[in-house]
Amino acid sequence: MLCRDFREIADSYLSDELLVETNHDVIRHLEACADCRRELTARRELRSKLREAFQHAPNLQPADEFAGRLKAQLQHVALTRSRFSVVRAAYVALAASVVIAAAIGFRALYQRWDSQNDNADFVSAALSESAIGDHRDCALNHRLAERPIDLDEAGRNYDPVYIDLVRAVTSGGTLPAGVQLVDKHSCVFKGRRFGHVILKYQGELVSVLVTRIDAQDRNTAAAAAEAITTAESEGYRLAYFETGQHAVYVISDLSEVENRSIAQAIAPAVSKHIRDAEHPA
Amino acid sequence: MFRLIREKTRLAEWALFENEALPHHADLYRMAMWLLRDSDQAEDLVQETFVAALGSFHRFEKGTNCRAWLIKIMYHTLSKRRRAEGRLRMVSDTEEQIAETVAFEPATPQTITEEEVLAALERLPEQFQEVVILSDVEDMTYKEIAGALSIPTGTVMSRLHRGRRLLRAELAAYANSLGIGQSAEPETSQPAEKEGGGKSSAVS
Repeated sequence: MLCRDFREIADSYLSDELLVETNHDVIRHLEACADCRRELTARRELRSKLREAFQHAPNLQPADEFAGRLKAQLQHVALTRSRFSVVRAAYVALAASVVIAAAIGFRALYQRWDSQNDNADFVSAALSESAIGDHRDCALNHRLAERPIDLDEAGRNYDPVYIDLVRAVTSGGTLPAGVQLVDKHSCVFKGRRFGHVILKYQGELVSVLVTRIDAQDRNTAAAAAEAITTAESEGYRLAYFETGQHAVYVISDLSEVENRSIAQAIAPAVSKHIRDAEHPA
Repeated sequence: MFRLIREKTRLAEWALFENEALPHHADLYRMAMWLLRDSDQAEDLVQETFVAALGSFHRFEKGTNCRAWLIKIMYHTLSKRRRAEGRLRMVSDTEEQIAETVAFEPATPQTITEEEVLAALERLPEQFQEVVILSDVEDMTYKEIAGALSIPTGTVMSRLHRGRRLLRAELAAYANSLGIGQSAEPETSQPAEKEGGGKSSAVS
């Protein structure tokens, strides 16, 4: 092992995160190299100082009475609720069984009646995964590989449907009360460009994502225009509709009903806006 | 009779939680304070974290790292809170910038104070600060950090590597200015790299 190699993994060695074989290599190298022993000591010292500095920093210490307040609050919560009770657990299990049975029955009826779900397989899973990925990485975690650009700029350079998309999303007039506009831009997730309007409803962020459908995005024939499909994937609620050449997703942590209600509210105006852009007069 | 059983169960659960989880409140507060820089907000976050932990204490695996479990809950609570606030920020290219700008492996200075270490840590980008603190202060494993921050273990490792390197570069620059803390490093660095290395202002 060279000094260069050792210094690359010295911190993992200190964290005890190396494989046994690599650990042995490190120990052998340290026995022969005074410089690296010194470096290791310095790094250990640095960690120790960092830990002590963090634990002693005056501005990071809790107030004296905080521990007492916290304990009193938690004790009250712990002793006044009965989630740990065996008896309660039995009741909960029984109630859960009834709810699950009812849900299964309702779902069977719902699926029979809900003809709008017929187009669930028309768009490829990859397209839905990209939309979910964009919602997660852009709206929720803000970790994008590429900086978002203005919707109008994206409209001029990539796809005219992005121009005035925000107006189409917000002008429907049937959005539930309390929906707020948080952000609007065009962003790219794994090579796919989206028009992205971020709303906030009941404390949750809601992504409205518009993207062009390519031939490979379709599993079979075109879906019925504006039919809204709902699904749950990776823990998120999806509502989806399309307009010939474009797919529109509404994705959030809201309930299925709430998420779908937003899709239903925006669908007429957004579909018209996209169709007008797809087929200019 | 059921009421008596329930009462005893509650007391036993509380005693367990009090012994296992509550002693970590000061560690969590320091972490919250570092992240939020506001004592009221830090107290709120810690309280919310402990209430959530109490509610799911039956899921805590005895014998595992309780502090890491609490920190994970705290990060999830904070993340949910930030999402609800709709706080948007771009952090995408910072890691790449740093990978380019920290090109050499600085020697670790040996004569530095706690305050200097903390000040240097504060100058790092946020995503590097948090992994360094979780690993080197809170003693969490790479896997535990990945769970707390909801990022892959590989990302934890690369951020730690770069974060520690940046920290050493910050401290080396400080030590250099005082003419201290330099150890020989014949195999690792070229003079030209050393002159151009260190954390540039582009990443701060």
